[in-house]
Amino acid sequence: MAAKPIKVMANSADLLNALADNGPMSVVDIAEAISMPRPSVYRLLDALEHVELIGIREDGRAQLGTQILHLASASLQGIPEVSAARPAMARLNELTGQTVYLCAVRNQLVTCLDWVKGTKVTLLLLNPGGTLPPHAGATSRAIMAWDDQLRHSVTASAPLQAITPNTLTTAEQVEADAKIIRERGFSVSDQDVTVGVAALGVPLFDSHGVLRGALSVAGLRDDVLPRQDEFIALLQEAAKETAAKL
Amino acid sequence: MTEATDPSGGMNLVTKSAAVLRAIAEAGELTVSELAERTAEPASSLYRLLSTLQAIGWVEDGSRRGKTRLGLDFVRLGAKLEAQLDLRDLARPELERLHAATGQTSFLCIRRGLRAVCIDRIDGLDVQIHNLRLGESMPLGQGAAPRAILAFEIPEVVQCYLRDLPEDELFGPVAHNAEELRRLLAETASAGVAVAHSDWGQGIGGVGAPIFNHTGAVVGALSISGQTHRVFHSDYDPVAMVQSAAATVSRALGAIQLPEAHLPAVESGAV
Repeated sequence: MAAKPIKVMANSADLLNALADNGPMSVVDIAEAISMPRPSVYRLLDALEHVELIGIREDGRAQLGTQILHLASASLQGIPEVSAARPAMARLNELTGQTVYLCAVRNQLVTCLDWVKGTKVTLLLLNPGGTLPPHAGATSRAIMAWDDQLRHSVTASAPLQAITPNTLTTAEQVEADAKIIRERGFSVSDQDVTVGVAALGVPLFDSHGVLRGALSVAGLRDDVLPRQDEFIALLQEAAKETAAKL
Repeated sequence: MTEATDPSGGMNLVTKSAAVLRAIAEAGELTVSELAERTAEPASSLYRLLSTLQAIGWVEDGSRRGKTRLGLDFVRLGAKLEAQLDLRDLARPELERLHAATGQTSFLCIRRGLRAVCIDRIDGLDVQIHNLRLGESMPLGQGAAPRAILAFEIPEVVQCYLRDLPEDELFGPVAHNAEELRRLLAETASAGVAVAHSDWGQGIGGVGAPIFNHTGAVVGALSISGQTHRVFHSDYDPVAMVQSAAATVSRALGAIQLPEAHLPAVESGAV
């Protein structure tokens, strides 16, 4: 008896994850995706629809419910960095037109806490709640430059995974990169996560000088790199404004 | 088929979990005893439930010992859902309904910079509106749908609009200067709808209503336009129809607040 309720919730989580990955799904598809008999799928959909975690569309397919959006907002509100950075991020986006990211370390991975999408392109590789390895991307490398513990555990596991030909893979590369970033105060990610995409990152310290995460501006390479000086100045201003609230 | 022993198949656990999530969402983070108070569930069963929810990523440890907050997993799920919710798909049935009921040209617009772009439209039955064809845009201060968007935008957008656009683009036939435009935006914001008896020149009028998302931000507008006497002197109420269509789309995007609850951009945006 003790194991079954847990199974119901595990099935619910599997169902929500399947809907997140696939978009709207029919009962038949769901039954197959989460290995559940169809009558049970109906019961689960009923229960989840009742609490608005899923919605049933006019065509009968299930999709994630709008309650998810409110839980996502509430989850973000519980993270101090997010509310502190939000106005600065909105302004960065308005001024640069590029995608603005706020990331922090969770379980040894750099996790995207929040973003403001660029006006020109939507970057698909890193979305809120998604993660990057610490050695790739502007926020990751800005964090790792100042987080010695994280950097040591990363370099200890080298060679690192090459996401593109530009990704740092050796311990020497990571250490040299961290040194340059600490010297000039910002990171430059040139196609080390996605070919054609570049980003600039700055670390986010709180008013006690504790590293809390990083901010970045990301977009198509030709939109970002030629405006490096301008974007870095804006990023540093945003980081300063955010830090004052932490 | 172990579920046969329990007619609900454990589904009441889904309901309990949702109540727990809602309580935590409202409070930010809670201890088990605080949660017990708010959900009327015994602490002993909450301990079990929370450990299950933690295992599936729906909750996590809070900032202090003994506190629980929502899991970052919802941020991931929410971002995926937002990407799946397509404004044009969701608005299309409402656009068709508006067109069928009024016979007027019906528009769906979104903001791009300081202009409103038409991303869907259905032509009217008796006149053809040459403005704002599919993919075309207008300055945010002109026309019913663009103004419905601008009136609910953050103050910075209004300020940028008045600062960055050349004088001859800024204003339409209805507002001739910044002061008039601000007044018009304030009216639009407090009414929750943009009504123009003659906006695009002689005899053409329209009604535009904003569409909001789950955060209360304006993401677009639905509107109808046509000969003023047709739009405003028919057997239907054009304002109520456009507002209700826009509200339906807002609900599908997860909006809970109605436009009235929204802070008008212009009041706080006075330079």
